[in-house]
Amino acid sequence: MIQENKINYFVTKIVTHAPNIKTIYLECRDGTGKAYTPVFRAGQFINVYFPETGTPEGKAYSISSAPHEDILAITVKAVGEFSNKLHQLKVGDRLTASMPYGYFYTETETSELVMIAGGISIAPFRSMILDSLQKKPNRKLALFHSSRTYDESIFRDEFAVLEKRFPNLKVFRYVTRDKVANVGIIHERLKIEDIIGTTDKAKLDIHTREFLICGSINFVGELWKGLRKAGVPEDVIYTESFFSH
Amino acid sequence: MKTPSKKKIIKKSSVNVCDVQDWLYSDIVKDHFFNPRNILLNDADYVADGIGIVGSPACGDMMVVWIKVDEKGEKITECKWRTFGCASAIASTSMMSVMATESGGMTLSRAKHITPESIIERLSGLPDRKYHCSVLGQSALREAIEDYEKNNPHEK
Amino acid sequence: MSHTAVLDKINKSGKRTYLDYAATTPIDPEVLERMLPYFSPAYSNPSSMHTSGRNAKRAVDASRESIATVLNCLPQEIIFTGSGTESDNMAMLGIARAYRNVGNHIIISAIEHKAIIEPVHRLEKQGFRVSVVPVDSFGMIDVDGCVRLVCEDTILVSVMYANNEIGTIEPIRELVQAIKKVSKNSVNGLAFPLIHTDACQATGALSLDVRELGVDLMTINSSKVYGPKGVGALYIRKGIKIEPLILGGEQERNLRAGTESVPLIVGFAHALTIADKAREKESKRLVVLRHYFIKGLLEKIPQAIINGHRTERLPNNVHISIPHIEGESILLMLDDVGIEASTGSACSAYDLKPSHVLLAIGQTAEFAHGSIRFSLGRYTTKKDINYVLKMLPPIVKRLSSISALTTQASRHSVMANARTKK
Repeated sequence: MIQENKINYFVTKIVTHAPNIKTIYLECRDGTGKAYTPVFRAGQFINVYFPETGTPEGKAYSISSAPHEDILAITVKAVGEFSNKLHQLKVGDRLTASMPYGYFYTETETSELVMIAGGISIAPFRSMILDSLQKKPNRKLALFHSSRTYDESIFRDEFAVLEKRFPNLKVFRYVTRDKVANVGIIHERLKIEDIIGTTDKAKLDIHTREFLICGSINFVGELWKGLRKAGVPEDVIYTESFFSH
Repeated sequence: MKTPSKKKIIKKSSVNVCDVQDWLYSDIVKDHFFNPRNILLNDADYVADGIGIVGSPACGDMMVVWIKVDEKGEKITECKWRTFGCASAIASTSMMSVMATESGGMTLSRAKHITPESIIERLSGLPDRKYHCSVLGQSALREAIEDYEKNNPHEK
Repeated sequence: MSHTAVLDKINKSGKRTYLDYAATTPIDPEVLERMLPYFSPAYSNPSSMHTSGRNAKRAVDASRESIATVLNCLPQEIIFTGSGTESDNMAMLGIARAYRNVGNHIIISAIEHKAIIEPVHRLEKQGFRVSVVPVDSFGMIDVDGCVRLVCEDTILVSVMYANNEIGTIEPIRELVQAIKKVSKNSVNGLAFPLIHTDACQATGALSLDVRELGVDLMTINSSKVYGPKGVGALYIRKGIKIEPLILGGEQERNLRAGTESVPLIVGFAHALTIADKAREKESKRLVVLRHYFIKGLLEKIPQAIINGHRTERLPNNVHISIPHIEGESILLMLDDVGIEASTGSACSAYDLKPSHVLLAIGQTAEFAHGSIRFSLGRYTTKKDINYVLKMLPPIVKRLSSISALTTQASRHSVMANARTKK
C-alpha cells in the first residue's frame, strides 16, 4: 500500500503562474540530510496530508515535473482550505505526503497520444509531454486544454517553444469564460468533434492513438462517454479525476 | 371544433439510473451490495498469484484483491476480494471483479485499462462523491497485477 | 417522479421500525388536529387589521404564552423562527453583530451542531476571534477549561444542552454559574459573555426552565418534539439586543420578518406542552428501554463500543461504533429489513468528513466510520428493540465477512506498514 507511506518533503522553490496557481518544487532528504528526488513516472501523483483540515485521507496532486528533470514539482490551484494551505508554504517548509503513486500512464510506446485536460489538470500532462519528447522525440502528441480563463491556461510560453522545436507536438488551448480574444486561444467550449470527429484537430492515427483524460469528475465522465459513443474502445482510454470538496 | 392535438411528452424509461446528485443507488449497485460476487471468505489458505491492497481504515475505504493468472501468464482466471467501505465501495469491487473475470477472463494488459468510468457505467452510475470508490477498485486490481508481474517478470 | 408515484412508493414501503427520532419525530395526532383550523378556515394573516387577522394573531400570542410557560419566561422573550437551525444562526450572528462594540471573542464547544459552527466560522472570517472548548472522551465539556477561555473581549458562549449524536448532556447550570463569576458588566447592565444553549435535542427530555438554567438565549425546535417541521423558536432574555437576520416586516417585534405560519406555531406550542408534561414519565420509560437495548447490543456484538456519557445522556440515545465495518453499509442493510437509523460515517456525509463530534471525543477515524445512532421515541416498543437485536448481529457478521479489515492479508499489511514507517 504505497499510499500509506508518508514521507517528509521540503519546499525548495515556488513559481507563480497566475494569482491562484503555483508550482511548488519539493525534495526529500535521506538519513544524512542529503537531498534526493523520489522516483516517479510521468502521470503519477503524490498524496498530500494536512490532517488538521479534517481530511485524514489527504488529497492527491499530480506531479507536473518530468522524471528526467530530477525534481518533483506539483502545480496547485488554490480553491479551498487545503489547497490554500499549500499556497501558504514557503521555501524551506516541510510537507508530509506519500511517495509518488498512480496508474495514469500508458505502457504502449508506439501509440500516438491525445491528452485532454480540464483546468489545473494540465499538470500531469506537462510531465508526460516533456518525458515523451525526451525519450521519443518523434512521437506524435496532441494536448487539448480547456480552462475558464486565460490566466489558467498555464505553461503557455514553455509549450509554445516546444511546439516550435517539435512539430509532432500540437497544443490546442480553449478558454471558455474570457471574452477578450488572445492569440493562439480558441474562445469556445471544447467539443468532442474537435478531438475525434468532424473537426478533428489532432488528426492522429486512428489505429494507434490512445486517449488520456484528466479533470473534474464531470469533465472526464462526459469526455469518456463522448469518446465511447464515437466508437473508441474502452482499453485505449485512460482517466484520472479527483473529487474536489 | 377541432380539439388541439396534445403534444406527447415521451419519457425515456429510466432503468433506475442513479441520480448522480442524490443519495439513491441504482438497482445494479444495490444488487452488487446485497449480493456481492467473488468475495474471498477465508484468505488464510488461498494462494494467489498477485495481491493488491489499497486504502486504509482511516480513510473509510480499504480493499484487498487477489488474482490468479493462467499458466501462460496472460489471462486473469480468478479475481477475489474483500472490502471495508460503503455500499459504493463494495459494489465497485464486486463489479470490477466481474469485469476482470467474465467471458473467460481479461488479459492482464486489458485489465490494466479498466477505468473508474467503465466500472461506474456498468453500475449504471454512482453519486459524484463516491467516485473514489471505483478509483480504489481500479487501483486494487492494478496493484494485484503489478504484484504478479513483479514476481513473474516477462521474457521480453 | 410525480407526486402520485411518490405516494405510491410511500404506501408500498412496508412496515418500518423507526429509530431515528433524533433526526425528526412523527407528528402527534392531537397536535395535527389542533393545527388544521389554521390552514382552513382560520387562514388569515396575523398582521392584518381585520377580525380574522386579529384572531390569527390571538392564536400566535396564545402559542407564545404556552411556550413561555414551559420555558418559565416572558412571552415577549420568545421569537418564532423557521427552524432550530435558523434560531442558532440568529443567536450567533445576531448577538455578535449587535455587540461587536463590546467585544469580538466567541466561545463554542467542540461538539456543537453545524448550525452553530458554520455561522461562527463565518464570523471568524469577518474578524471575530473564536475559541473552541474541547470535550472529554464522553463528550462532556470541561467547565473550568471553558471559564479559563473567557476574557475581556468575550461576548458570547454557546454550549449545547444535549448532543444530537452521542446524547451527552452538558452541565449547563454549572457552566452558567462558573461564567457568571468571571463575567463583567457592560454599559447597559448586561453581564458578558452572554450564554446561549442549543436545546433542540433536550426538548421533551430535559427541563427547559431558562430561569433555573440561567441562560440568556436558548434554541428550541418543533420537529424533535412531535410537532410540525418548519418552525423553531429562540428565547432571548429581556434587555438583550439582537440583530435580525431576516428583514422586511414587523413580525416578531421587528426581529424576524415574514408572515407567521399560524398552524405551525400553534402545533409547536401544543406539541411542546404535551411533551413537557409527559417528560418525566416518558424519560423513565425510555431509560429502561435504552438500558435493555444497550445491554442486548453489547452481549450480541461484544466488539462494539457505546459512545457518549454513560449516565449523563439523553434517555433515548444509543450510539455505537463497530470496528471493521462501515456505517453507510450497516444502515443500508438495516434499511433493507425495515430498520431506520443514522450514521456519523464519513461516507454518508457530503463532504466525506467523519463526524466532528466523534473526532472531538478522541475516536479514531476508523471507529468513527463504523458508527450508528439509534434514537428511540414515544412510539418505540420493546418489540422494536428486540427486532433490531435480532437483525443487527447477522448484518454485522455479514459485513465483517466482506470486510478487508478482517483478512489475514490486511493484518500483515498493517504490521508491515508499522515496520516501514520511520
